Amino acid sequence: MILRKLIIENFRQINGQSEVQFALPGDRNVTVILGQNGAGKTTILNAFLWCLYDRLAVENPAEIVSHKAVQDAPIGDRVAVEVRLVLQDTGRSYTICRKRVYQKHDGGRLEEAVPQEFRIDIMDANGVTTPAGDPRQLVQQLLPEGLCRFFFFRGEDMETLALQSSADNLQNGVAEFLNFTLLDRAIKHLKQVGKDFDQELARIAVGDTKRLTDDIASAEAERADVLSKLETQRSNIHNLDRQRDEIERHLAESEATRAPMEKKMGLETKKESLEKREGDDRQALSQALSRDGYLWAADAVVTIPMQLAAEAVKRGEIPAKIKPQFVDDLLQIGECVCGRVLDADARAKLLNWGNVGGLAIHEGAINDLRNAIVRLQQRRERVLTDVPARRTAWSQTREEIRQTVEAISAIDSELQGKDYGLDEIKALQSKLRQVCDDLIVQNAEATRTQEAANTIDKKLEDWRASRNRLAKDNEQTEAIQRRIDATENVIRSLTEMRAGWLSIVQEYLNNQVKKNWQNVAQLDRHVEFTPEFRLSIKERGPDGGWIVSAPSSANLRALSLCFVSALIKLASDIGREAKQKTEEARKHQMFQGGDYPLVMDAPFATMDKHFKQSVPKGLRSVVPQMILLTSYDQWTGEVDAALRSSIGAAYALELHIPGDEDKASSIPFQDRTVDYVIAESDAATDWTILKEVMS
Amino acid sequence: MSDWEDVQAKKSEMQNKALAALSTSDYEILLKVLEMEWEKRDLKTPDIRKPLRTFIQQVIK
Repeated sequence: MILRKLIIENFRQINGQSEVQFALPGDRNVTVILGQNGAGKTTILNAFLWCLYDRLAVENPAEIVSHKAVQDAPIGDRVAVEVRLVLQDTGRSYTICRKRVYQKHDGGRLEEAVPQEFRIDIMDANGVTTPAGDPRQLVQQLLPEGLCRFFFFRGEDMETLALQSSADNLQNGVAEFLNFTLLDRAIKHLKQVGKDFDQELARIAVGDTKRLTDDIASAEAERADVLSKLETQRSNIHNLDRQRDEIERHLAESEATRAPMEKKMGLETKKESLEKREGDDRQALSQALSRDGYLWAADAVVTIPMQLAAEAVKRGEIPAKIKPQFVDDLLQIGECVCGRVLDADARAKLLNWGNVGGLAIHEGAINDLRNAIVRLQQRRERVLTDVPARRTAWSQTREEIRQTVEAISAIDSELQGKDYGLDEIKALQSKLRQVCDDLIVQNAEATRTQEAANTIDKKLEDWRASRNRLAKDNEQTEAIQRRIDATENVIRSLTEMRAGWLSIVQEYLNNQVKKNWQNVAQLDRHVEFTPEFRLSIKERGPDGGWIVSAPSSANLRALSLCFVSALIKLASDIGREAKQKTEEARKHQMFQGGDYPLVMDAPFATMDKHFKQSVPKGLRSVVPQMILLTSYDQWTGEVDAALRSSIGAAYALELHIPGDEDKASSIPFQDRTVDYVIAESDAATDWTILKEVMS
Repeated sequence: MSDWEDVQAKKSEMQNKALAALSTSDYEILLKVLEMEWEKRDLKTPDIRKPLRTFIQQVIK
């Protein structure tokens, strides 16, 4: 099953019709679809799942229609939502089409106008097209729904595959690959028929045969109770496994976040010190302003008196022409400067004149004022240099605080709430010890229960053998006993084949996972797909041996991708084997295998530089076709460098948002600039269109 | 021998071993039950209990 084309019309975030032509297997087998958060990367992933399986997690079915398409449609008009997927499998081309048509009513309410359409057109090698008689079954043959989680996935869901608690999930997945559904049903139905024969025997048996049949029935009931108890215990163990995985994941995160946490603590200390400095700066500025601030804008206070004094000097009014000493001298001599003797009247006038002081007093006042103004001027000059300097220092401190807060916020965003404190880590470690202790207890109990079940099985085997011997004495009971034996033999064979086949494939997958790890991850770790169907990863201990430690999110993702690649190889091998079968035999195979693509939404997000360099490149070399949905931030750098030469098709999800132009952005891609976000002042809702960006 | 050829060889050996313990009539029942399951493969909860019992009664009289 190789993807050739995806056509999406009015599906969720995608407005109008968009088409993707996928890169085909070969040297350039990578299709990259770039889109920022909210642009519709997951919408593309959901489009595959909706088209193939009618699977979409929305509360209201009408939510699958593009909001913009609904808004643009006049009331009464119909709006169609359609996804068409063209794929190739064993020389045939399949066009899978799912379509829904809605009618728009008053208030924007939508009502399904015609029944949902789902069809598959099959084109053979000669170009002859025929519709599939049973499209649902055909999809299940091409890719059973239970398996699609291994080929179409979101990065964040991926790492859970590598958790210890996912063993059942992996075992069920492998069982689906191996077409065990019918085998399991056959075993179940044979067991039911075996019980029917037991009851029949109980009805007609007499004597010891009757007693043994009753004992067997009672032991069967006891066995059912014990198995039910065992199932509960296994479920408890599974839950404890999950708890342990969760705690170990948190502890691994706490380890991975130690460096940014330390950086954050340093920045917070710096912020505290800056805030204190900002307080001091503010206080100093405030003191300077409160002491001499009035002079800041009081130029006239000092310039006008100085100007008036200068003008008085210019006019010759100061220095004063007549001084009190001059009057005193004339009065003492008793005559005027002209030689005339001062009479009483003239002396009185002169005395009065001297007492008035005249211009001399003014001159003194002006001189005092001038001195005061000179001092004020000096203070003003100081304030004119001091206040701006203090204000600049205060602004710089505030800017430093802003930058520090921004840096802290960036780290917070990187940590995504994973900022574990010491107390929290201690609590996690303590809980982990508790969970591990509980696991030991539960495992011991499950072992005891399993032993009890084995004892009952042994007892049943003996009683059945005895009953078998006794039943031979009677023709009627002997026939029933033979039917019981035959049923049990078939059940045993089918169970053995199931377990044997599963074990062989587990071993095969284990080898593939190891090879893939070497090619894809290129990191010194011991990885394994264990007989218990668990993915395990060990790192080197201080003495050089392999030790189990809580793996990082990046390690888990890389390991999961290696496992998925191994499954893709398995599907390819199953497909090659199916090709050798006759057409009739192929029809009787639920999952026919073949080449399968890997469609991933943001798979490399949490990976470090090493993995971003090695995993994308290694992965694309072990899978036939790779479709990568990613943001430009996660693409640019190592992933781009690793995959650049392997890109066969590239698209961008051009996101249109309501708002001003400053919200718009573009990205450089292969020597061209690509519109990434377009802001539209008149837009009422977000919408996206896919554009080809391959040069 | 490739990985898959190795798998096929092991599978063949395992199947032969599992089937070797079956008599002709047991093997006939095994094929029949699988055929019945295939015919009802599209049903979510197929019930082949009665026809299967009848078939076994016919094969082992």
